[in-house]
Amino acid sequence: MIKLYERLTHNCQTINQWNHAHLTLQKKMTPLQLAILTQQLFTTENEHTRAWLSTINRLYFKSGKVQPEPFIKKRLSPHLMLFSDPHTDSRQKSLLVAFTGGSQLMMMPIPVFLQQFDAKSVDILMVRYPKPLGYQQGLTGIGDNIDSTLTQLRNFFPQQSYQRYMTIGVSGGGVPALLMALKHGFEHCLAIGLNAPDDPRWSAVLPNSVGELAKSYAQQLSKLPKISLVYGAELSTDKQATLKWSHWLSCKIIAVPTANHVAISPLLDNGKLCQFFNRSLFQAI
Amino acid sequence: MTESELRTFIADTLEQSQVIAFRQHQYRPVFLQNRADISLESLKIDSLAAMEICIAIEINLGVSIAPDALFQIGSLNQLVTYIMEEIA
Repeated sequence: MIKLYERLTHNCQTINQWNHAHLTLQKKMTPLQLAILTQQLFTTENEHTRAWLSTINRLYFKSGKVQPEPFIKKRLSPHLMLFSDPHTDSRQKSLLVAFTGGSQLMMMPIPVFLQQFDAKSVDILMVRYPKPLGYQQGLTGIGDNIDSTLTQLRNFFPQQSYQRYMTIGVSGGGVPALLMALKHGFEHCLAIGLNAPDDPRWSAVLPNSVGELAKSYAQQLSKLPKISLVYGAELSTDKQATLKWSHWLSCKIIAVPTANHVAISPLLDNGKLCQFFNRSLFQAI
Repeated sequence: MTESELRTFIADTLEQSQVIAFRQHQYRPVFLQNRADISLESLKIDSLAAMEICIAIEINLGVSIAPDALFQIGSLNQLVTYIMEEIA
């Protein structure tokens, strides 16, 4: 990681070049890599890196854990990254498929997000938002539309290779997370700040609305996933978009007071995000 | 780069940087056709989006604006004017 840091920051002169390097790192790092990088750069005199490390570590320690979760990263394709603890048998774990938003983050730096989970009990398959087209066009090399992409994604983890399956998605990744859980009959889905069921960007590439597509997937299932949809109470468009889903699917709607689009930010700030994820994703139906 | 091309670039960048208010208020056609000026304050750009916008401007146009300075620019039309002057 220190080599990647040195390569990314080698020619940095302007504030934007530094920010670009830091953003690139926080989209890729595991908690362990962040801990090592922090240790190695502890005495850096570079003010940009010092400020960045201070901010990211402040968020990182909001999980309440001192030791970094031992996730190891494995790149499966340009859009897919598996974070797992290779020392624990996957058959004893859950798989969480995580769809990032437009910034290719989970509304927070990736190591901060990963640190909220127990690496011994869950592997995380991170799906990176395909810029600039979004998930509506599928994922290059996997599928050329959302339906074929969701079908192909299932092939990355054979049937019964995990105890339980669930999805999470933020912002533009919220709808794909919902569709993935419905298409494959996963146990849980948590979508945060997701698009509306009649969002025109989805309707433009589908025969009907994305709400219709979700409903058609749901009709194939004997048991629906436990669906939790979260929005920030301060953003009326997110509220409207989320509430519309309740007309299409049986779901639990959660409003986070004082939050905007980044609805889980107050939960992270208050050190309650671990608990929230546990309750929404891992509690038995 | 023409002003029209610059406006398209800025609109794309705002959308890709998840500036929700830009889409929410359907500002894109208003901005592209310069029908009204849009204050940056009304766009409620968060710090991550500000960083991404400034990075995109610097990488693609070679114009360096610090994220803090972006908020001092005031409006999208003033941003267009500033960049046009810098790349002239």
